[in-house]
Amino acid sequence: MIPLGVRIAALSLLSLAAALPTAPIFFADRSAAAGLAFRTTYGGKDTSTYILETTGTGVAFLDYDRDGRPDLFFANGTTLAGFPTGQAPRCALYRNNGDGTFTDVTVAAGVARSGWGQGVAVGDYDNDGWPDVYLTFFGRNVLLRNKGDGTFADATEAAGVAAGGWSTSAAFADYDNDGRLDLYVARYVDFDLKTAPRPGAQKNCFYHGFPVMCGPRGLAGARDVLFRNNGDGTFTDVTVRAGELDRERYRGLGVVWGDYDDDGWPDLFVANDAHPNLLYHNDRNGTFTEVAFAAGVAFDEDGRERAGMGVDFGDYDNDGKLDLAVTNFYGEPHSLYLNQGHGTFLETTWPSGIGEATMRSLGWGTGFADFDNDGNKDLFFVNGHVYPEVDRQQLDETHAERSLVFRNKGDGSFADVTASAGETLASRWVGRGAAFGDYDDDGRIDVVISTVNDRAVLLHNESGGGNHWLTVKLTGTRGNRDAIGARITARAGAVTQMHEVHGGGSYLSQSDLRAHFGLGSLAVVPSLEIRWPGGAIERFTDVAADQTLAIDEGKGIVSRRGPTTAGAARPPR
Amino acid sequence: MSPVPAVPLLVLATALVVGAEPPADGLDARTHLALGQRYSAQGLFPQAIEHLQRAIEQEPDAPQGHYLLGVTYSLMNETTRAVAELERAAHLAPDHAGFRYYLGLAYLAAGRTPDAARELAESVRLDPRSAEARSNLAWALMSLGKNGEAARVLLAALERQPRNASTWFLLGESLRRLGENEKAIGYFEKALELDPAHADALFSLGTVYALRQDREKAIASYRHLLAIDPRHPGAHYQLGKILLRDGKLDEAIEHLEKSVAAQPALKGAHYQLARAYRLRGQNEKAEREAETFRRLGSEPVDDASWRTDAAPPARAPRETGQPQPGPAAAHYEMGVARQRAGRFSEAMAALEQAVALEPDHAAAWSSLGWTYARLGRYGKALEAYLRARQLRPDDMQTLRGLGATYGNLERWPEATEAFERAAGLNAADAGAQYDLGRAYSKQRRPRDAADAYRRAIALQPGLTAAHFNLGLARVDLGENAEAIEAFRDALRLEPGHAPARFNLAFALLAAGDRAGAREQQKALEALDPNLALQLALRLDGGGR
Repeated sequence: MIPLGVRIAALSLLSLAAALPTAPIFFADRSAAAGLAFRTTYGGKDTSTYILETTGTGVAFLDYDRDGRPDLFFANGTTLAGFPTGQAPRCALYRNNGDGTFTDVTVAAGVARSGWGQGVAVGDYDNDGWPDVYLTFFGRNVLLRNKGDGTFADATEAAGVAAGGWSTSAAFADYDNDGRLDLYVARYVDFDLKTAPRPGAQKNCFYHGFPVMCGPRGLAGARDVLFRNNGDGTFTDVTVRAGELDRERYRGLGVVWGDYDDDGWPDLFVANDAHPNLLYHNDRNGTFTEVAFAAGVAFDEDGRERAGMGVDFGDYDNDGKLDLAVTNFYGEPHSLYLNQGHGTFLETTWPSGIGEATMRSLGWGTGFADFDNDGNKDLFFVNGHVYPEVDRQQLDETHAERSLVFRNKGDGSFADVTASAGETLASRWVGRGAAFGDYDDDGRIDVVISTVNDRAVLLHNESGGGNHWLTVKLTGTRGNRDAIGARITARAGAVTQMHEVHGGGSYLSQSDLRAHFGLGSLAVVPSLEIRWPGGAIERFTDVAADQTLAIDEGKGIVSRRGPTTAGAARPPR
Repeated sequence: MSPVPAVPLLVLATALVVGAEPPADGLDARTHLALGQRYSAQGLFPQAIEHLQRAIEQEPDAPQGHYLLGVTYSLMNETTRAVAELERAAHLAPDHAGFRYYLGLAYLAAGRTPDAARELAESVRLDPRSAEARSNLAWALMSLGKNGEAARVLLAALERQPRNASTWFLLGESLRRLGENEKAIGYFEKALELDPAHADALFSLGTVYALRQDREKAIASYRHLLAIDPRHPGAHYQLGKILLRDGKLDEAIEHLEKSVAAQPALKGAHYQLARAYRLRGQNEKAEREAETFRRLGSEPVDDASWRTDAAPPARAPRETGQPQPGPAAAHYEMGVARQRAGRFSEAMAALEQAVALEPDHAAAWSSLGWTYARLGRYGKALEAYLRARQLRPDDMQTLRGLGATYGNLERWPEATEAFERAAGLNAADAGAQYDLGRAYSKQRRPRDAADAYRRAIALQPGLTAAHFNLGLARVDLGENAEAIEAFRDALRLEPGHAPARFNLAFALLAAGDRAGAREQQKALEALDPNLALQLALRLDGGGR
């Protein structure tokens, strides 16, 4: 049976293509107003002795208490000198109060963890309906099982997912379509503080002639890990069995799952630092084949390996295929790859306008999201240098950098609209992680940024234009509860928008798992199709815009919620 | 067959050239200085050093001797010694702009760019008229990521020399790096207005247009460049990329093939060729290009340095107060100075001027050949070297450069002939024997190669690369025990020589000494984690 959506009579069904007013993108820093007092501690402020002090931390949107409002989880780090007992910086969980503010519930939730924290992954690995959290560290990783009562329990040992070494981004997905979330953990460098070379010690320990922390070149990479969910609360390391993954131990930083060839099986992309990127094609039998070179995403168009950091899959040209964005080092552009179908990508970094505008940025978190709700996915890049020392050398580059936002012009190219996107984007931060989600349910995608040795930044999306939107929260019943891997397609006439619920993406972070569509002036979506993990299809027709739908697999729309005005939205511009 | 496909390379200083004339005794410091300077100019460096050291012995606190000795060491690529002597000269005469300038250049060659920038800035302060010091200072600043400061220095230089095309080009380049592409285009065009054949300006102009998606203007710039230099590998490559993006497969492939013909190690061109062949359905060719691309990316030693085997030809160090040279000599000297500063396109332009003004200037032709080769323009390098050889048939540097150029063009029989002639001219030249060994290796003549390497080692036992290559030749000959010995000799000289350790492990493995191979693998982990991993994968069985 096809569930019925809301029908609204007498509305002209404008095509999505016709519904593309150019609404300005605008963000305001609401960190203080939202009560978000979190500060990251990570390595030395003015000097980085080791590469360990440069990678920073991530952030995640998750609805840990299932009240329908995205909460926030921040990873945190430490310093080489360390801290007295009980005073070490810790990660933090902030509960969304539903009125545009957050409350720190870290202690009450039992999630305070210290150490060289890195990434945050979110997924309901035990399918109990409550999102769990996986934290990566330089050191032992931590799996926090959500007990459903506002608290978490450490399930690391029981689950067997500590991994060790230096883990960075991690991401959940059900790669074998057995209904349980598996876990991929990228690892960076085989690093030992006792033996690591110091600034200036070797040829890879200089930048523009002055001594800096060594690496990543010259440092051995560490092998990533794929954990298969056994369905009993434990995982098995299948890195070798699944196709000798990361056999060459590339320095992994960014991870995202996505079905790039639309065959219903999640594939995996790993951004590596000064090593070729990896694209694992899911062979549908529990193994993967690495195809990045043939697919055209291993290198840049000159055959050079870039310093891959953050990554995201998204369909920016609305052709139903997942494209790819990757952030890179200063002096390299951030990369954009257009999915051509047939398993190949075309690098569109330069023709899209992304290249020229990002050459002088060192990028980390990134995401495709339709910030102005015009029907085309825009791009956001969080930037920040790795060498604090550049500020003392009076170079053209600086340690803190501006984040950049690009508006999708709908013709395959992007316009850098950072300068007009609000005074707050003129600020410079040493940015690292970034997560995207509509925290105040006003229908506009917000951004939260984690920084190095600075406060977290909550960018409230106050874009004008009055465009319509639709948010969809999926819950799996036969497949994984988070519906990670589900594909939602909105159609109006010949125009299609596609969103895949994906684990990972950005850098060390997890964005809101709810799907968001910008609809321009379209008040009704004529056709909404969901392909659930495992292949089941559900279709909805004439779905009204400007609401958040909750859809359960096989049960149709189970709840609807209109927009709130909690975020103190500005008048339209 | 050797597990490592690449043969290591060595930039051999021309210090190995041995002349016949012994240093004279009983001469005063001034005479020693004059003789040293003359020998240095002739490329007879051992004699030059002998005289200059004697001058210094007599007058240790006279800066001129240290200065000339420093410049001589610079010409020999002996950067550490060059820096030490020039530092001494600058210490003794801190207000001498020329000493500070050459010290700056020596720092640049030694990779000490911040020190270079400091000295060059000091040189500019002491002699604000020197546009060349300003240009080199700007270059150093650009290397340090200080493009804004470099632009300011270049603008000041242009106030004094507004018609210097290269300065306009550098100004454009610094602004391009700052992302100010509109201004950069203007400055490149200004450079081209002054010098329509300024290859670097044309190339950069094409690049900016290409980045801005102004494909018509980009194509026009690259085509213009190819009209001037039909083998310019970069122009062919960039044109190939644009045409491939436009779907003009045949044209794209034609240009990409020309780019790799001109510069076989141009990795990106192989990458794009692999794509283009695949699009044309030529999968076998595509796979071959992909394989070449992978090989270029994974070689443990930089094969590209083969192009610069021969050290740059010598230039006479000019003293302050010395009469100004004639126009050809001035261009020659400018060209060699720019070679030293790593500004090869500018060096090429100056040396082309030199040979245009004085077509029989053998040293200029030889220098030009070296510069062309350094820029990957082997066809032109060959022409220049052949002309130089015609003028001076027995010049060691020319013969070795000629051999290296033939090598880059994969014309190994002719390369061998040139190297054999060089080695025959001076049987005591270890570098020539080494070159010859390399040529034999390339021709799959491991016995001859081994003999040549042994001769090189006999002449210069500390030549690590010769020991290593001897090991590879022994492997090819199936002489595993001797190979092990040679690799061990290389490692005794240079314990951090990762490829030697890597190959030693394989030789040990072939000899059944798995434990020994494992030991090398462990040692390799600290030297080259990637090679260590490759080895570990072999030791643990399987292989991708």
